[in-house]
Amino acid sequence: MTRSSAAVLTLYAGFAVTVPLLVGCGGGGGNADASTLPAPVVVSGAITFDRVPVAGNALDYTAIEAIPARGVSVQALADGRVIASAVTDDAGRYALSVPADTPNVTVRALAEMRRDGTPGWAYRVVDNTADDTLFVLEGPGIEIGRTDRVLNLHAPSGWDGSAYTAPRAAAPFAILDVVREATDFVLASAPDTVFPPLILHWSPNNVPSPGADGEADFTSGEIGSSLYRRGFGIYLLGDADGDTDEYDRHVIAHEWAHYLEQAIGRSDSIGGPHTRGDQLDMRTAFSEGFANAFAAMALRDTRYVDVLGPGQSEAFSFDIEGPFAPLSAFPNPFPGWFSEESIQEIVYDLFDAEQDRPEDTLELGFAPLLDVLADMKDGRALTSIFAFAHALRTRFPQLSAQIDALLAAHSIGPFTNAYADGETNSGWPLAPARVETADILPIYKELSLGGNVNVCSSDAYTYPGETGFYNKLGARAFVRFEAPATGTYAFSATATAVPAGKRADPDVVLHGAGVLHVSEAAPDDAACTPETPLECAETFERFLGPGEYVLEVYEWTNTQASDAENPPIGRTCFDVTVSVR
Amino acid sequence: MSLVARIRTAVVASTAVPFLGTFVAAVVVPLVAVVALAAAGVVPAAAQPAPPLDAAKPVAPFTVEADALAAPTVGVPVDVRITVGSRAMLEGVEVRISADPGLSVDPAGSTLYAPESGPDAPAEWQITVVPLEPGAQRLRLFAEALVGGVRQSRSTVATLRVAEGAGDAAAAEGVGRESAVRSAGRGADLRELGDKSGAEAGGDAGSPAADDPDAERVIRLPAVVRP
Repeated sequence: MTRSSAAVLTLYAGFAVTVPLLVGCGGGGGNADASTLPAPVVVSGAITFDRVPVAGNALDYTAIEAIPARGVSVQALADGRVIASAVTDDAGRYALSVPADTPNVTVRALAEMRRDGTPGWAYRVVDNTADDTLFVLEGPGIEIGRTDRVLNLHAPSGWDGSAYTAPRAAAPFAILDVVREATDFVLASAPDTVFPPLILHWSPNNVPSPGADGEADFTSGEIGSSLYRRGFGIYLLGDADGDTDEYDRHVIAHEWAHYLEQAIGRSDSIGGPHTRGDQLDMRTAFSEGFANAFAAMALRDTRYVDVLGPGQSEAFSFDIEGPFAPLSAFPNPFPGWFSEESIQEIVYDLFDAEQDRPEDTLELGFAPLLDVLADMKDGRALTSIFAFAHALRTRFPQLSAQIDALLAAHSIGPFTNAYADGETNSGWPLAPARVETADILPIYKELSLGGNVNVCSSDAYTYPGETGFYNKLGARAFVRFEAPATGTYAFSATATAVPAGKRADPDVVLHGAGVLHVSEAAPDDAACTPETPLECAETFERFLGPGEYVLEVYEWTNTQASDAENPPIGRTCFDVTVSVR
Repeated sequence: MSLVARIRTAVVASTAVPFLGTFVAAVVVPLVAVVALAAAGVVPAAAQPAPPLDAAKPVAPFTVEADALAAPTVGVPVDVRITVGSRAMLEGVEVRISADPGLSVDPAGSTLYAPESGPDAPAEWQITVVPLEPGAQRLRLFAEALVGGVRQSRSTVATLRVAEGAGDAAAAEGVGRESAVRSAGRGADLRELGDKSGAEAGGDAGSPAADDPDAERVIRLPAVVRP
């Protein structure tokens, strides 16, 4: 290899080779004339990492592959300072131009992928249990003379044949590799996308254990589950023999899809735990179902696998196209707009070419789905399969019949708009005595200015202690209204029906293409008592422009994940009002 | 206080300083500005960045829980109730349990089995654990079961806060999961867990000199040099 920088740039077209920031003198004599300085030396090589593949339901450590670390930042350091930097290409190759005669140079690869401009992205993998410190793969110190050097650095998995006994250096790069694949998948449909920065948090200390009070403790690693936290990024488990996710490509892609929803459009999802058969809040159902489908689309593999257990030898898995077995053998127990499983199949069937049921007649690819996500950003209805499908029908009116047929195959619709007008599926309450159909349908109750509407919050759609009430169907009721003009509007939710001996705690969230206000005051202890349950109210005012708004109204105890002190009180109803102040 | 508020509180409390700046700039500042203007009646309310949410990964359709039935104390056997619950019928329910070195699990309780469980009859066992060391000690529970004829798995970790001895037992909070398990993230135990980062678990986290605030903070993962 030639030593000249120009040649380096030619050889590695596309690399961001930085002119050395600091030209060391190599101990050679102080103020030498520039013309007498030796030409820079090129240090080049490849950065690779161990990818542990999944075989069946386990990580297969006998089939580890060395995979190029694509698009990661590489630096040369001398005396603690960065003297050159570059970015690896698709083969993991890098080239750094460093001053000749520099002692003790260290080359390192950062767990970071960034590209400025259009398209653009900035991803970093950090340890949340160590003050969000960036992981770097570091080579040995080398002496730079006057000839070019080749230095190939590899990040091993740390597996010794029976356990992780060495640092798991490959993990951050395995995570970035999935992120790169997901990014490339989106760019294939939208080449000019500029992604907002994303931090991915991983640590061997990240365990599937809840933190204090049942809430995640990100500094200790008690994160409960791999998850996407809006505003903070992605957190991934690393608990060896418990649940590691650095090689669970679908898990990483799933969480990245939640980030994509926010980056491209908007998600009103309230998150929370979820599993097959849950009847979920429609926002969570859509977000989770979309994320499952995205993982299958981006990775071109419909089998979602989440490896866990001793030796990473077992898994939770399902197939996007037909969950656990042929559909006829094990159908979705509760299909509908509240079912993550329905959503994932619908989204994937809109994308793919395979026709796995008679109603699966479309093959749209990903670009239209991405466009629809963007369309949902400013919609006033909450994000759900209704908003998604309505936006899709609006873009492709000629396909409306086929879209509706696919939805109907999952017991969704017919409905006329993003507010789900016309929907008739009220789910399968697990405690039927604790809910009425009218509590669920219509999904959005209409409220006129100066009037009132009665809504009810229920705990009827899940078992206590399973995955909580927080995000389940029926816990939250939705009200839509139109503000005719700019002004200050007053809102109230006052209890009208409360289980005997209980005290209501109504809460209200105001939405207008995003959250505008969260009103969650505790009830007035003097006025609101078990003896006077109907005196429990939530009120607030808000200065609004003209347009459509949505109120989310709920009995607080019906939305608790697992709260022994404040268990769900059951079906509780409220009169909701809005007026101009 | 509702969950939304508690999540917000937890976020602010638990977020590391470096990223807090980003959060403040990206979320808090515009949110405060919008709220202030709207509250002043200057501009109509605009959509704020929504409260943080935790969008978790999907899991197998059953739960695995461990409840300590007494405050764990070094040297004192404590019973732990293990429960596998599900909305659907499960067959061939098996739970394998392992523990940190600071906990000794009765070998008879390290693998548990039930032919089936369902919504009305969750699989339930009671095992005995002897805490050997104080502080946060973890039980790892790995459960498998047939769901609709397909084997599915779930893993969870229960953290026990173990008191030093009889004198400290009163300091260990009450009984059951609400106390013994959840207390793991607090105080000294939290620091103990946090200290596992870096050198032990992922690499050399000691790169920034403790007495040099300007030192770069990275976790160094050793590379293998290949030809």
